[in-house]
Amino acid sequence: MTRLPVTTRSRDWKGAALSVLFHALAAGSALLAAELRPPAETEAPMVVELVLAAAEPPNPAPGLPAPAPVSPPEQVKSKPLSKAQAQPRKAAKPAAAPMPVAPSPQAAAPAPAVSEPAASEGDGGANPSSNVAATASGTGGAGGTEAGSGLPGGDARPGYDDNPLPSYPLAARRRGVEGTVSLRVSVDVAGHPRSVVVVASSGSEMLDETAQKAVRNWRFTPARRGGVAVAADIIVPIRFQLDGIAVADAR
Amino acid sequence: MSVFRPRRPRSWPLVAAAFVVAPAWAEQAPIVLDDVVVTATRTKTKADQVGSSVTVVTAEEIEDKQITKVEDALRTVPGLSITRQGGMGSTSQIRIRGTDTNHTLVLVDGQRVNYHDTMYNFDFDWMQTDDIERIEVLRGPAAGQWGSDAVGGVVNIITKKGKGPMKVTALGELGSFGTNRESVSTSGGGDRYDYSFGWSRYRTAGWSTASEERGYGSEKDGSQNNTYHLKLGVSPTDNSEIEARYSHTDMWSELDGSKTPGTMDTMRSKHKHVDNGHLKGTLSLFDEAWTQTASVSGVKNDQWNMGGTTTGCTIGGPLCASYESTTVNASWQNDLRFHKDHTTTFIFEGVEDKYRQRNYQRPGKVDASMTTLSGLIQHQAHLFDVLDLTAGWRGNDHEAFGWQPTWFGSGAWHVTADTTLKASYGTTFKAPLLYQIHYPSGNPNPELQPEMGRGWDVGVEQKLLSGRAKTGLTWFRNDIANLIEYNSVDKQYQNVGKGTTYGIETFFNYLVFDDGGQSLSLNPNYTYTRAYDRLSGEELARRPMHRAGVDVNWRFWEKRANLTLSTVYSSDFQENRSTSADQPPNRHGEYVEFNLAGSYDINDTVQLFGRVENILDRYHESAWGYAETGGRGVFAGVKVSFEPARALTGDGE
Repeated sequence: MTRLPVTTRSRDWKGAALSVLFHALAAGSALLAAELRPPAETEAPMVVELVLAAAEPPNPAPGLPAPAPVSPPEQVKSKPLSKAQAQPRKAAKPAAAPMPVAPSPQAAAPAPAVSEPAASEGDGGANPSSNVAATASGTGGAGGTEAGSGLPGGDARPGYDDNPLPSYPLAARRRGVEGTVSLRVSVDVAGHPRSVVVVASSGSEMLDETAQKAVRNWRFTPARRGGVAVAADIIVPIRFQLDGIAVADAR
Repeated sequence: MSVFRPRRPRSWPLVAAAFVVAPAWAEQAPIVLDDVVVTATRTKTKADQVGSSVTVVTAEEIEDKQITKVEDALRTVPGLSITRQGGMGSTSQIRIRGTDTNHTLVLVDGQRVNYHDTMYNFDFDWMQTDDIERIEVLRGPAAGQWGSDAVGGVVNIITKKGKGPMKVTALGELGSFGTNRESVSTSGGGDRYDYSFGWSRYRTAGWSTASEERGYGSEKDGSQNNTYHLKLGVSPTDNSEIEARYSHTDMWSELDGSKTPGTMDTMRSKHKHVDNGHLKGTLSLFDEAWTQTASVSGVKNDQWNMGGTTTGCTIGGPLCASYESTTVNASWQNDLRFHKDHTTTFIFEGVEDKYRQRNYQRPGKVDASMTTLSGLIQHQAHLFDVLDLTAGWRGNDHEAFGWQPTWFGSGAWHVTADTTLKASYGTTFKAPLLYQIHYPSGNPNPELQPEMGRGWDVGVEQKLLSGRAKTGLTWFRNDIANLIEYNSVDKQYQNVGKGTTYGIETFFNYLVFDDGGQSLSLNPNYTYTRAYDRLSGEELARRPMHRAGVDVNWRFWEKRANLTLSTVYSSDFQENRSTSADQPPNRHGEYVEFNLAGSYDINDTVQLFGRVENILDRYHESAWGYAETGGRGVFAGVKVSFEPARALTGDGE
């Protein structure tokens, strides 16, 4: 038969629990430094559902409002990047090679028609083009849109290459901090960012820095003029947004 | 040994100047690329992605309906029934899906606040709503992941976290039954810190708990509640957070006694000091691949009853009995996310419950404690983009009842973007309360065994009208062995055998229109519940078979005005108290109640609000002879909220 417990065990148990707690925190702190410089091969942030503007619609209506925020508790589920959509990413890669002599035909072929940039002033990421979102699956890398192609006469705008998204910092996520930061990136002929400057803050220093840090490690398809890669300045708007209500807070 | 590097941004403008050497493109203004969107859920699991039945009550709904007590916020949640033995401050319990009142685990910010009490776990009598951000109600056996108590489900109360510029809110209200209510709160935060603190109070002269309707009494039973709350968070780094919360409630309520049959006027009262809080550290490593959370939390209920009772204390006498319940919980949780679609969770947890009871005018005391150590492993998978699966196992090492493992699994299949099929299965266990073990002699009853449960549910959820409406239907069943009930012949708690509950929950949430200036929404729900003892075939007490509720919310005048009509219907049920001197218990308790709440924002700072409770002025009770309403009540008040920084600079005026 069951016996009722005695109270004396409790002290030891509490001590053990506290000990576990502090050791956990201590071990965690020791590992903190490692986190500050994540290994190059680290997989893209798992928590982030990467949503990247894949391609602008043929004729983006100027002044089209940004996608409406997701209204809780429903979640808008992003569709995964289909096989067909994923193709251009790989195809775009050759274009990123330094100093291509001529525009790569593979890169140009599958690309949807890219319209002229609707807004050229970097006014804080108020990109009027609608956001045809596609989710990169698998590694979570930012799907390379092959914006660096399609313009007549061998000219091409610079574009995104295969890039890991910034992770949403835990501290900001817990406090519901959201915002859009616009970064001015000087892309050299090889597609490397030479400088990344905040031109419009998200309102949160943490999000600004997170975006900046991520973009510094990005690669771009360089702009081309007459088929020759050239350096260019681009504005990269990065929007941090939280979904609506989530449950199971504890687990 | 790695070194912390200062996280200052490098001096990019200089570098930029060096490299922007005006090639063709750079002569023009820079090209704006498409938005890159980084999204995340505030927490780990989206409501749509769980196979279990979940209902979320938001702060907005609570505010729209001007609900002051937590149990009232839960009245229109499918699958729940509420019992309150009197007015505000009276013992308030909920039953989820026909399970018992102590089969609900209650969490505050994910931390256990159940404590061992005199009659049942868990009593909502002390809980106000001012500090609540939302309430998540998880129903069904998947709740077994939380261990003992969560047989019927889990109620997780999330408190408000400060955000943005400092905001001050003050509220005052007056109303029927000699009621006044006041609260003041302040909150704010930045990237790396947040704070929220406040004070809430109500006082009410109430009505006679001993039903005046039935001629049992007329002396009013009042209540008073002062609650102080504080929540702070700091993030030493981008990937970590330390959060602390503390609340203190100081309340008393006048009580009436019970007799056979019915109730009687007494000058009794109960007094409570409830302290509750947690300290939690979260650290996310390797780009969120490993998130660990260590927490300690505790709740302490210090209660004493004054005056005579019908169970041994002198009428008009002083201190009758005191109760002290303490629950301390420590846990270490590890979430491993090797792939964005797969999360494995390990939790190590320990809970210690203590319970002391002293009777001052009669013999008998209880002084006992129980410790449970648990380990949990759980995996969540998101497969083929249409399937969300969760499965887990929890080992519980209970100090008195030994090894009690439970397991659970749930799945959601998103057949189309609008249709989701859900199912869950799980096993649960519920250790007897220390009070039940020791009642009435103070010596343990060695025969008492834990209640063992298993349950399952299947359901479908469908979105309609391009997302403006959502409806759902769920079939549920719970089987509980060793069900503990009070045996009035042997005068002790016993494992009476097998209990079964089953039924159907349905809901229909509908946003009729929203044109920016006006909106109309309604959310009817209905629950059918059967609960019976499988050995005797008798219906279990106080489980209404039919429950329905609907809130109709209309916003107008540029949404500055709001009207909410809230209706609750509950059918009658089997009573376990004697309802007359010469008759066995019978059925009663059917009621329908209409409440209307409205508010108007005069400007951004000042809001006027008012409500009418129990418009039809109809009597109802959920325990024989205990008046749950004092009739129609009218309340009105004013709320002021402002940002001191803006008010001082005159900004935004």
